[in-house]
Amino acid sequence: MILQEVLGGLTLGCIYALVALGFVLIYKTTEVINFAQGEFMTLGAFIAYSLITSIKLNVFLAIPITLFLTFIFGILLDRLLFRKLIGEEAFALVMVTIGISIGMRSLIGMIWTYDTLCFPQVFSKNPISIYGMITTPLQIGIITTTIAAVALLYIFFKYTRIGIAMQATAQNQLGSYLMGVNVEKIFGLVWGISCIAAAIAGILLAPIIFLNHNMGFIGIKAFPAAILGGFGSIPGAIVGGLILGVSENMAGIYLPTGFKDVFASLTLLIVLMIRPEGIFGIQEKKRV
Amino acid sequence: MSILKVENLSINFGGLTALAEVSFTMEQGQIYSLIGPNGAGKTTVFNCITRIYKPTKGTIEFGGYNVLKMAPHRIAELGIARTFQNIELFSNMTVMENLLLARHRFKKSNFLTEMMYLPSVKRQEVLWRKIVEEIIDFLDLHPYREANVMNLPYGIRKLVELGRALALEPKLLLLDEPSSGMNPEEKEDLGITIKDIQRYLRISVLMVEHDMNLVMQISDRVCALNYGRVLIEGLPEEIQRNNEVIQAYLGEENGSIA
Amino acid sequence: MRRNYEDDVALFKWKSTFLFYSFLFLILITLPLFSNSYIIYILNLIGIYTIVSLGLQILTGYTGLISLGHAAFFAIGAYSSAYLTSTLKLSFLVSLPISGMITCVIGFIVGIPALRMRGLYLAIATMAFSFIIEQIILQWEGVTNGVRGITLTRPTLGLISFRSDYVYYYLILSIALLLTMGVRNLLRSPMGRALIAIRDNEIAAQVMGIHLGRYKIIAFGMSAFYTGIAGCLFGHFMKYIGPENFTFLDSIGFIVMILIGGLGTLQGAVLGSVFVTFLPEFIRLIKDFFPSIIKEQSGIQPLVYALILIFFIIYEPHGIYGRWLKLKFYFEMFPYYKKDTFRRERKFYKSERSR
Repeated sequence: MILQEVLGGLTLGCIYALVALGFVLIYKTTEVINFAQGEFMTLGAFIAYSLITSIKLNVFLAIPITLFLTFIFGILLDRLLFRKLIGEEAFALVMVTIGISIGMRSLIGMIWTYDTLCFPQVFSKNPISIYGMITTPLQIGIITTTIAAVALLYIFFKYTRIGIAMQATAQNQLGSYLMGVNVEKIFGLVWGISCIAAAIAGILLAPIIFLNHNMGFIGIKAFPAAILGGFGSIPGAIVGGLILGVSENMAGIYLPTGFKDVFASLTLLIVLMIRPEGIFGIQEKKRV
Repeated sequence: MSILKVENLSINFGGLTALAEVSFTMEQGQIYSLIGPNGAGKTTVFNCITRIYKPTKGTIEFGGYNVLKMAPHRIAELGIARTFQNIELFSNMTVMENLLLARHRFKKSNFLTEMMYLPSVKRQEVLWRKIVEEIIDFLDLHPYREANVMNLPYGIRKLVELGRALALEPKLLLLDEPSSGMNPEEKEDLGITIKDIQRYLRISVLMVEHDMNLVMQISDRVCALNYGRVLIEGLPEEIQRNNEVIQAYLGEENGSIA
Repeated sequence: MRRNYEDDVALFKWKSTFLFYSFLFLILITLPLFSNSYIIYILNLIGIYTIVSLGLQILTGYTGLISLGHAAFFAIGAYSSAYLTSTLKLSFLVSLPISGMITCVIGFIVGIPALRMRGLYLAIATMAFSFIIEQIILQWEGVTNGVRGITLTRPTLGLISFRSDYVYYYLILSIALLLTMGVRNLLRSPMGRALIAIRDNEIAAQVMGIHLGRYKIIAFGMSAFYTGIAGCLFGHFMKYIGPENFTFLDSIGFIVMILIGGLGTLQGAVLGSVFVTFLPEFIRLIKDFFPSIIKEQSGIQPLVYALILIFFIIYEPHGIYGRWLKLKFYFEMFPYYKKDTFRRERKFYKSERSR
């Protein structure tokens, strides 16, 4: 049934949306295109895995701790690395993030393992039926968690002082700085929050595709999602992620083999060709 | 023979009207100045002529050609060269290379002959260097010939940009605030240089300027803009005395601009 | 000594550079005599990757169009030649230029939509393009044999058989030298200047009469041509190609080459390919000096790679050749050298950053 497939696609789309969200958050505020977003996801998943299996922590304790740890990781990354690179050329920053992604992949492999692990079940995968649709608690869990996370973020941005400061920094770094916003601290926070979003995505994703040091490759799919939504728009990123998830699933079912894997890339290319700024994006032109 | 005819040029940016029905005509061999307070739309006119912006209405005619139908890179072929308000040089190239770049429209080689560096390519290079040397002579840029433009002082960079525009062998030269950032001596030299360009190089000059002394000294005709509209157009002395222009610059006070 | 315009446009402006490069040429020609099979293998690879570097340098270093997907062109060159020689049974003499041309045409085609994309969007688009090519390699089994890959043979031109790595070295060397001369000539000609102008200031370049679209497409085509030729040489050298040779990581490797070597310089392209090709071997050699925990990790190589990349971007943005130039400059200026002569300009305004 179509609705079922849409649901399946939405599930995947939620994960894309979370990754794309963190990704666009970083881009909007610091203008860094973070190729390592997928690896943040992997890190979160692995940390949660260790906490649950090795230290035998209760799931509901392990996950907040994981989020906290990845948050710290994001802040540290910013403080140690990106602070030195404020104002650098965009290309240089991109290459740094690519380096980080390669390095993280190896480190995760070295610290944990290169094997594929099985992530402990939080939501069961047993099919249940709701209104005639067959779905699993896992799917429902993913969708609800994503909605909750996005809602929390929305409240954070709109109603807290720090959130508003972040919005200001995203729109105008220098202006915010002159208005007394501690821009550097905001940058750290932005990286931290992005890591949290990625970690949530990782924890949700791991049960589906199994834990592996290379699983961050899905993060590359955040690009088409973010671009679909227009690189500078967070709601756009979320919508983009959902659309991508659904259409990718459809492509896997209705199009010949191989199309599903390149669907994301094809979408990206087509969007960039037709509307280079993305659906919600704005064209920036140099003034002479 | 009118070299440049701008008629009813209008352009909107979003809700903002940058130019509204701007019209003026420039004769060959003239030094024509566009003046007006900041934001009046003078650089916008330049950008329309060089096809960086697409106007919503109006025509621009140059030497019989409809400029608005041409692609941006064809403007140089027509014989229009310009300098920019914020210097737009090629920062990683030397002065020499910047000037040589402007010769591009005279290129007779293609990328295949260039990769093989046939004798014809070499001859072209040597010829271009001779021509560019004359411009370096004209502007006294000798000591900076091989310097990277990134490291040069502001005044020299302005000269290099002027030289680059001249290297294009234009019929019409658009100068966007050529005297900004210069001290009075340099401005005097600039005035003489522009006059030389008019007299000896036979190039018509359309100039956006803020310095009224310079404008009054060397211009043949002046057009004053404000809020995207033409206030008045005529001889320098007429503009100087016109009340509307004075008001535009100085607000409601009565004074003269000289 | 420059005494007239001819000297100004000469290939080597100073006698010392001429002597240096002649000496270098001699060394390159005689190198096989002093190399064992391992070294000659590395040299062949360096030659192939140098050609890729040159191609990428044309596009990214000189024209400023960032490509994160050059492994795709590498693959197209390799698979074209594989198909032409293995399936269509054409000779290498024919398949080399044809695979170059095929890659070039695809480069042109890629260049056309690329005209609309700015800066980093283009980078991401090229990355997407290379993913698509990867899939095509896997799926188009009729031509590429999918996952199983294709075996190729060493060519025989007339009486010369290139089965030996030592002989193949000279094939690669001569092609690399020819292609380097091509780029060098291009750079001292109008088109080379046009490309650099496009990189530095697109709008000003247009105003000066440069047709942006045409030159960007030519840059793409040329860059693809070089990389395709390198791909063909690679295929026949390794005698086997499979989809695992042409991944995103390989594309990144190519970019790292020109970044570490020195963006926008020919010497940088060569130095970069030497450095990056040597790196795995170098890591393997020094692994023995480290405690066994680190030694046994198979992931140590990408990690070192990543660390070096980040190091270079932060501390040596102009690459190895840039460091060499700065050193030269220091000695020339001594003792007037100022400490922050080469400090990078940082751009904090968003308006300054959009090109």
